[in-house]
Amino acid sequence: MRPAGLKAATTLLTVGFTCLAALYVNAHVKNAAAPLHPAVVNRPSAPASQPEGSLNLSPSVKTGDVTPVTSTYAS
Amino acid sequence: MPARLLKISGTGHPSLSERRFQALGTDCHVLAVEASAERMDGAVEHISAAHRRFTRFESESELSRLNAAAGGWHAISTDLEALLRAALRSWEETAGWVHAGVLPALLAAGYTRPLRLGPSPAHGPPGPPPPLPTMLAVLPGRARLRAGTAIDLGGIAKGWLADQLAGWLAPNCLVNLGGDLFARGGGPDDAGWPVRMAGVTLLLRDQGAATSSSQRRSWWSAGGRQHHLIDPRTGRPSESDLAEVSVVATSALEAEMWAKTGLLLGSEQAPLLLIGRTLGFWLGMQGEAGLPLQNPTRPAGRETSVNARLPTQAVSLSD
Repeated sequence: MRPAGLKAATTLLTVGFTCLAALYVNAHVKNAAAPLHPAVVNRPSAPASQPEGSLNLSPSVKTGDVTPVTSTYAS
Repeated sequence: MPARLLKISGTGHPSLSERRFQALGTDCHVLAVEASAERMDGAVEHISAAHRRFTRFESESELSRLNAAAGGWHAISTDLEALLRAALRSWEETAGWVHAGVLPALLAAGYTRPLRLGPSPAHGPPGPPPPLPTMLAVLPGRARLRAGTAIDLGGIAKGWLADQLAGWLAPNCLVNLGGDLFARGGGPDDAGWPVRMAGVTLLLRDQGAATSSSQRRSWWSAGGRQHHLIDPRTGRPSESDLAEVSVVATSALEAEMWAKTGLLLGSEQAPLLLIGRTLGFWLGMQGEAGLPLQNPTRPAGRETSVNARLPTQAVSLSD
C-alpha cells in the first residue's frame, strides 16, 4: 500500500473515533452511576415530608419514625 | 407569664411534664421526665427572669444598663458575665461571624422594638462593627463596652440558657428556647428525645440543636427586605443564598453558633465549615421549593415571617 494511503486511512480512523467518542460523551453527561456524583447531576428526590435542602448527619445522630415532641423551628 | 402544664402518668411509664410559655421574645418549651411541678415552675420562672434581665427592649434590663454605660466599666451579675464571655468565645470560635456587637446595625435596619409592634424605618447601615474583643472587655463582676457601641445577646442567650437550664432541671429533660434546644438524657422512652428538624425526626440524647433562619424576624422597608441576621462584614442584613440552616451539636449554644455562621457563609462554604464542627446540619436555599417566599408588595411594617411549610406553631415576635 502506498504511504499516502496509509496516512489517509490513519487520519480517517483517528477523526472517526474522535467524533464517535465526542458523540458518546455528550450523550452520557448525566451518568447516574459515575463514582463522583455531584448533586446537580442527579439530585435525589426528597421524601414528601422533608423540605428540600441538604441534610448531613453524623452516625452519632439517630433518626426515628416517632412523633416529635418539639422542633427547632421557632426563632 | 402564662404557662401550660401537661403531665402524663401511666402505669409502667415515667411521667412526662411539659410547659409551654412565652419568653425571650419567642416560644419556649420545656419537657422533663420525672420532674416535680415545683421544678417545672422554677424552670419557667428562671427563663422569664432571664428575659427581664437580658432583653434589649426594656431600658431597665441589665443588658440595657450595660449598653447605656458604654464607655466605662459597669458592674454585672455572674450570669451576664458568663453570657458576655460566651459571646466573646463565640466570636473567637467563628472568626467573627457570630458578633454580639451588631446591635447598631439591627437598629439601623429598623429592628428597634419588638416586631409585633412593627419595625421602624430603616436608615443607612452604621458600617461593620469593630472586632468584638476591641469593643467589649470582661473582668470578674464588671464589663466595659467601647463608647458608641452596644450589644444584643439574641441567640447566644437562648442557646446558653437552654444548656444551663437543662443542666439544672432534671437528668432527663429537653429545653427548647425559640428553637435553640438541648436534649438531656434519653427522653420518655430512653430512645432519645424526638425532635423535628429539616423534615425528619431526630432522636437526640445529650445533644443540642438549633435553626437559624432569615425567613423569620424579617420585614420590608423602603430600602427593601430586612431581617435580623446581620452580616458583620457589612453591617447589613445578610445576603446569603441560604435561607435556613439547622445544626445538631454538642450543646444548644454550639448549635446556635454554627447554624448562624453557616447561614452567613452561604451554601458554598457552609458545608466545609460545618462538617468538621457539628454532629449534623441541614442547608435550605433561598427560594427553594417549600421555603416561604416573601411578598415584596406587602405593606412595610407588617411581619412576613409566617412559614407554612415548617412544623412550627405561631411565633411570637415580641423580642
